[in-house]
Amino acid sequence: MRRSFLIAIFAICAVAFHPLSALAQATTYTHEMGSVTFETPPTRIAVTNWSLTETVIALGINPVAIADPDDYRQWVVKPDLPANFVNIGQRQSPNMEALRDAKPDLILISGELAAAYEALSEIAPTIVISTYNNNQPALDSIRKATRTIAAVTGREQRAEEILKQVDATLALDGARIRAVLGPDQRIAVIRINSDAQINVFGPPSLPNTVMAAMNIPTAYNGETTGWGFARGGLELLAPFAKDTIAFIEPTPAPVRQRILTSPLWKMQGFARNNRVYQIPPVWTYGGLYSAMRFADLLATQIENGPYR
Amino acid sequence: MIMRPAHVTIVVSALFILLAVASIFADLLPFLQNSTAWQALFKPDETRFDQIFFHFSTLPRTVMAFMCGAGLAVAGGAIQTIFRNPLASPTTLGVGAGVELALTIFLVMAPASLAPYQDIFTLTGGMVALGVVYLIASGRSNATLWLILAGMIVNLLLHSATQIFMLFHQQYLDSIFMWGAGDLAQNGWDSTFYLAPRLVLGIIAIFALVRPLDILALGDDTANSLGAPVKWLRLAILTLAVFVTTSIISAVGMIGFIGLAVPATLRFLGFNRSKSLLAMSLLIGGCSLLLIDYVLRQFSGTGGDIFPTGAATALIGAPFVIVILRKARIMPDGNANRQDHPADYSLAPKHMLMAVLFAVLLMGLALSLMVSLNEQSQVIFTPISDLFTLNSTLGDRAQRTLAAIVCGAALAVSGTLIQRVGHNPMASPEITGVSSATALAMIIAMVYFGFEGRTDLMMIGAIGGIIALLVLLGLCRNFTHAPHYLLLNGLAITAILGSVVRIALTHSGTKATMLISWLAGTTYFTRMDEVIAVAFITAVLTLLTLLARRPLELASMGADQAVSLGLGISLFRLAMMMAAAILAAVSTLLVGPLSFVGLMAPHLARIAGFRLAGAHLIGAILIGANVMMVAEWLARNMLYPQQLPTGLIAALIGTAYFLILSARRQ
Amino acid sequence: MFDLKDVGFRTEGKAAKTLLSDISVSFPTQAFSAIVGHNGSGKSTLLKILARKYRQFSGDIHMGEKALTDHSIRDFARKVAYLPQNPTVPPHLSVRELVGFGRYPWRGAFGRYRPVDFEKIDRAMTLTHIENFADRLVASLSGGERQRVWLAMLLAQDAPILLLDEPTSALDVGHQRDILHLVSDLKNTIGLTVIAVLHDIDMVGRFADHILALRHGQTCWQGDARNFMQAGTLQKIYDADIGVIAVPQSNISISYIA
Repeated sequence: MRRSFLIAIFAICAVAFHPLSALAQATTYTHEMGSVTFETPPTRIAVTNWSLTETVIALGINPVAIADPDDYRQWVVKPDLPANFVNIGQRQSPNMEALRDAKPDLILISGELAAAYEALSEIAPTIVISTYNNNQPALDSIRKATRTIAAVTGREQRAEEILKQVDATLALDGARIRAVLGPDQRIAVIRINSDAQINVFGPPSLPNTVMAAMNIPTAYNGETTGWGFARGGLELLAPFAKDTIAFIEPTPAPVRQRILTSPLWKMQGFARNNRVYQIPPVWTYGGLYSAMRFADLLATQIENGPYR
Repeated sequence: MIMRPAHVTIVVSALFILLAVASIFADLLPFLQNSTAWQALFKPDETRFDQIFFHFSTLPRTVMAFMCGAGLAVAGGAIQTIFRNPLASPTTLGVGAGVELALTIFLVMAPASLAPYQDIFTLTGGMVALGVVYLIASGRSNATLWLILAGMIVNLLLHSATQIFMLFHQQYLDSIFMWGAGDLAQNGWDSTFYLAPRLVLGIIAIFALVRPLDILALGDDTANSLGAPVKWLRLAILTLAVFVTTSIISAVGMIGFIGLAVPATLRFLGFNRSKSLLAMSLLIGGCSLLLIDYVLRQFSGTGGDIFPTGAATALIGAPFVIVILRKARIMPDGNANRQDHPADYSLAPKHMLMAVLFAVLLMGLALSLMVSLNEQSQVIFTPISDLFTLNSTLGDRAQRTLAAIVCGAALAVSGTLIQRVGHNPMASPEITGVSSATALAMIIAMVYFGFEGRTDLMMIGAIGGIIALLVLLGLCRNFTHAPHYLLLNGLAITAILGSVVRIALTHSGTKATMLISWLAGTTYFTRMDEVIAVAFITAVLTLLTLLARRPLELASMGADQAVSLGLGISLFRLAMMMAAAILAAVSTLLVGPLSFVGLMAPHLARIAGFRLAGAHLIGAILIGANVMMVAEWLARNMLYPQQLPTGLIAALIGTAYFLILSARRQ
Repeated sequence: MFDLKDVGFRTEGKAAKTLLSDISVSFPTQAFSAIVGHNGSGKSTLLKILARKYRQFSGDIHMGEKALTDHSIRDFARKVAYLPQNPTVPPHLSVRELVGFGRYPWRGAFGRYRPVDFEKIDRAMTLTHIENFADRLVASLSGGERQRVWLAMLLAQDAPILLLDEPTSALDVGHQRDILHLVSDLKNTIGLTVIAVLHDIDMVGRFADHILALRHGQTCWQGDARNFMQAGTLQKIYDADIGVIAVPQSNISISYIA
């Protein structure tokens, strides 16, 4: 029941888009499950996953149909959703009727919805872009995905701006963090799952690839699941006694309470050294805006000081 | 019994205690080697993580495992004694599911200020579930069987409700999910200190009531004539047992089968008196969960691969229960087929009713295609003109509605066949575990062998279902007279499915969502060609069974009679069961394994007066199709734009129907 | 009709028990044979072997020209009609429908019933006097009525051999007499071969032509009714003090416990 990872994707192939012909008016794009052709760049875009939603909004296009908007506001937070759009229900099963009503001219899905690809293609040209769960470094994947969507929608220039902004933000935030923690302090980013379970983000994950880009040493570099984290009890954190821990919200308050006050947490080095930081909600499976938001929030929280 | 209980007691308990102590020593070994064991046990060095971990995780976890195992086994023993039913246990009687729903709602909805009342809330959940199960079963001629059946139904109802609830709080699912899998991991002594006084109190109170318990075991009439206030005693002991169970479940989650297997086995070994039974349950239950947990911990290591203890106990416990209960022969022999038949069948054929059902189906189909609800639950009519466009909303709806209808029909035929040939009005693909086995085969094929195509999976599922049926036929050599075994089997296979799903989910994250949507039974991913394929298979098999309605009728007279009249019953039974398994398999892919339509439709058809095999089949098909059509419409529109799984809604309708039916019978 | 030679039967499993041994007997054609004996003597077992419910017997049984096991299921059903001790009553069938199943061996799963089938069904119901409740549910009938319905089904089956396992055990004396009288009549009019397990000594003496008595799974006595209804014979069979009185002006004898 890991719907929390719905925008994570099980794709096999890497994203490979390239315009076939620059001369013809109609442009054809090949994607993971086929190809689509557009005479003019699509403008009415339906998105079924939060990473794609955020990317489309970042490119300056208001999606006409969005899945799980309420949870988006709680878990992804930024960028803001447009004022008007059609709510198409859950990300794992977007409502076909609502989707049809939205009259999209392009539907963006991740590999997770591959089983519905044909049905969705009947409604509008559908492009499959998987940015997670493909063993690719997340930051590279979302950079590529941003460029791809920009190419399809004719927003290449805006994409380049965003990419530059990302580089600048990460460099700046990296410097802010190093200013507080010093150059060698390693950080482990985690999510609190349950009373006894945590996820520790590893090499391919968005937090770790972002930190790598910020030139911040990452604490956990071991094995991960397809989503880029390792899951287990608090003993997973034992090797990080001398490092810094950042946990990402939202977490149900009682669960957070129980974890953070448990002896097994309190007695570990990072807690005794007061090196625990609380990061406000940021989507760890998101796009470039989420990457920047993560970097900003991490830097801000580290400047603000440890949790409690 | 060759060994006398006294000897068994000594040998078994010594063995378990020895193993349990050995496992604790194995945990302590590294500390013994550098002589820090004392520190690790009582005063860990705060700079040494291994000591901290031992003191604050391993040790409380061990204590917790023992306590939970002991508590569940004692509660199970008390419940089994009260109901005089070896299959009764906190989990089989709905207590677990009741607590699960209550706790899920509480965790997600309740404001922090209500936190101290969590206990009362979950206890109420457990008691209400048990109460409903008890009410359904009491006063029936075959209470033993009905108790378990009602337990399954209530379990399913509550579980569906929990699932639907969780669908809308997806982001918290992880924590609820792990809890549902029964996780004994500890981060300190808090949970242990929370649970210990409750368990000690509850268990002492149960032990204080052993004499009344022995009297209750004699049966209500005897107990009454011995002057025992049966009602109050029973209520008191049940409340205590449920209290113990709920405390455990809220602390560590669902731990299946300990509460069923341990006391049942002990009784089989000859512990008939409550006192010795409960004492041994305490000891053996505690030690066995401790040992199971110890073994699982060896596999879980760091790195994230988690094998939830609760899921694992079900995996170990379920087959064990089948074996032990078969050997024990504690199940009353009985033929359950005489109770659900109205004595005053009218002999007139039900053509009218059939026509009405058919008309309802057609009208309903038209309505469910044309009418929908919007986000504000206002009724929307789709313009007729939409009918003539190729790719349209109507097309989508038709695809899914037809899928639902076809599956309803397939399950109805499957259920009718199993009920008739199995000679058991309470059998169905869901109850006998055929559907679960189908899903199990599909999941294993998908997660561990990488099968993706839906056609492949359907085939694999069908093979799984057929194997399950063959195993079932093998286990219950005399299939016709073993309604208990059927239920038992279904119970066990469904439990195994549950654990495998949970284990598969913790391992193979990537396909998790697809798994979940399958298990919940959604028509969302259905394509028209699939619907046509399933419809074709269903039509062919239905036609064949309709042609074979005469032997089918004959089969309901029992094997001896059928053979005497010249029907090769084994071959015929095998053929019909194959057909039932195939139908269950093809529909499982579309609506999930637990829709309950296969039980409900034939049952309802019979009650409606469709007597003879042919009419029964057609009646069941019409009812099944209608139910699934309604479920599909509700699934699409109830919470628009959210798309609910049709299987879950059908299960809700089905279980609710049974509850109403039972209530009316009282 | 049935020729048995050295027939034995053992149950399987750990606690295997010999239920029958060394049974050699010929059941005469077109006669009423009764199998008697005390409880647990193996009479039902023997009847079930004849009805092919138990197949792991030793020895040799011939039915007509062929070995018992050589008949196909349908062929056997056309020749032998068997009524078990407690037949499962299908709760949803009417009398006529149940009797109609007697035609199954002749029409099979898919064959249409022809007028001749309906005639046979009607005749079976007339013979057993159940026409009056033809359209009632079998489950709603009394024990005696039900027994007649089963008998009607067996008759509709049109088999020359009837195997009856205690067909009268649950009935009062009047009904017992009715049923056995009916069976005996049918034997005389249609020429049926009847083999029945019976409990009541007097009924056996009254109706049976040939009697096989079993004791502890072995043949204890066999002969005709006149020789059966002798104090010495009965004492030997039942191991109890039984006397016999001949009823004056008839060829009927009755037994009594001495």
